[in-house]
Amino acid sequence: MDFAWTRQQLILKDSIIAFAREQLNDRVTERDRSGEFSREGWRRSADFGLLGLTIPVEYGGQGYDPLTAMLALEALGYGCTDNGLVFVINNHLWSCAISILDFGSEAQKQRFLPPMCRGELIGGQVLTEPESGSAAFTMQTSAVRDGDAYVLNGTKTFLTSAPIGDVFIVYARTSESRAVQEGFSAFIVTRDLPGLEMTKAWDKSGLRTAPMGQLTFTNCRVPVDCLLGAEGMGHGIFQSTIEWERGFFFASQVGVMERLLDQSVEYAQQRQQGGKPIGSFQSISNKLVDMKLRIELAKLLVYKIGWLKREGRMAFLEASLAKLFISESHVQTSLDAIQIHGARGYMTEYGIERELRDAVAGTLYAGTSEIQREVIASLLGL
Amino acid sequence: MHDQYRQQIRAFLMRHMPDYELQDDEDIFATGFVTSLFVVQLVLFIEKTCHVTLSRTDLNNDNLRSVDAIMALLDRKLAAENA
Repeated sequence: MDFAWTRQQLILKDSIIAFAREQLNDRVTERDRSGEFSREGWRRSADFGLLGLTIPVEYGGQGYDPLTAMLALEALGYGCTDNGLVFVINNHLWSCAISILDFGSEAQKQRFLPPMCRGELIGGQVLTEPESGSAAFTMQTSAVRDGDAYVLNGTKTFLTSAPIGDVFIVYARTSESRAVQEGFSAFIVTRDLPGLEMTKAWDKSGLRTAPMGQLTFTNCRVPVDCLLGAEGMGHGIFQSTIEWERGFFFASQVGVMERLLDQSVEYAQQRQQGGKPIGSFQSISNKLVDMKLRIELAKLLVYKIGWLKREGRMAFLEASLAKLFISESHVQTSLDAIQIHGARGYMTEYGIERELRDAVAGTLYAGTSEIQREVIASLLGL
Repeated sequence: MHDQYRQQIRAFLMRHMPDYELQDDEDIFATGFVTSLFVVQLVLFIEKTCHVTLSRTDLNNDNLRSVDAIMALLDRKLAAENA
C-alpha cells in the first residue's frame, strides 16, 4: 500500500479547502435553522469540479483516481461547514453517479453523467422503505415488465435529496421466486415520470441543509432503457454501491473531525482559566490527544479503501470497518469539542452543537452501527 | 493444489448449508441457503484461502454459481497471475 501524496494532490487539497471556506460557508447557521439547501453552493461546487471527482473526463468529470478523490473529500469536509451540502454532494456521487458509471450502458452514461457533473441534475438513491431499513432486500416495491417499460409500484422513504433530486437509482423486486442475488433490479428514474410523486418531506435533527423525503410510485412506467445493468442485477449493484458509500462518504467526516480538532486546539491555547490556558490542564489536553488519535486511525482506514479501489479491488469489509469507526469517532469528537468549548460549544451561534447533530446521522445512514457490527461479525465467519 | 482448493471451497459452502448434500455442478443460489452477504463471505474466503485477488468484475453470479464455476474462475485467475 502506498499513501504518499504527490505535490499535485496536496495542492488540490489546499485549493478545495480554500474554495470551500470562501464559497460554501455563507449563512450556514441560518440555513440550518430553516432547513434550506444551498443551490448556490451546489452550483459553485459544480463549477469547481466537485460533482464529478472520479467520473472520467469524457463524461464531464475530473477523472481522479479513488485515492485522490478520498483526499479531495477530506478537504471538502475540512473546509466546508455546511455538512448538509457535503452530504448531498457525496450522495450524488457515491449513491448515484458511480453506479451509472460502473453499470450503465454507454447511452445511459452519455445521457446522465455530463449533466450530473455540471450540476444540472442532482442524483440520489431510492432504496429504503417504511418496513425495510437495514434489511433492505425485504423491500416490497415491485417492478413488472409490461412491453417497453417496467411498471413500478411502492413507497420509498428517508431518501436524501428526494425533495430536490432529478435522477434516482431505484431498487425494486423483479422476481418473487428468485434468490435475493437475482430477484432485484436497479433502474435510473427521472423525476418527471408520471406516477412518481413526493409524498412527504422529512424534518430532522441534523444535516438539515440536506433535504430528505419520501417517494411513492403508482403504476409508474419506467422505460426499459432505464434498467441499470441487466434484470436481476440489483443486489450486485447495491453491494458495489455500498462500498463507495461507506468508504467515501466518510472521508469528508475525517475532514470535519480534523477541523474540529484544529478549532479546539486553538481555543484551548487561547482560553484562560485560573491564569493558564485551558489546554494546560490534562483533562482538556487528553481529549485533544484522543481526537488526534481517532483522526489518524480514520485516515488510515479511508486511505486503504481509496488504494484498494484504485487497484480495482473489493473493499466491502474495509468499508464497513471505516464506516463504523469514523461515524462513532465523529460523534465522540463532536462531544469533546463541545465540552472543550464549554457554554460556547452549546450555543447555536458558534456552530459546534450543529456538528454534533450532523455527526449522529453518520451512525444511522448507509447501515446503522449495529448493522455494521453484524456485517463485520458475519465476514469473520460468526 | 487444485483439488485441495476444491475441497476447501466445498467445505466452506457446506458449512453454510447444514444437512444438505451440495453437488459440484449445483446452483448454490437456488438452494435457499444463500443470504445477501454470502457472496462477500465467499469472496473473502477464496481470496484468503487461495491467495488470489478478485476484482468487482469477477463477482457476477455466474462465476460463483456452483463449485465448478468457482473452480473455473479460480483457474482463470491463477493462470493469469502465473502468466
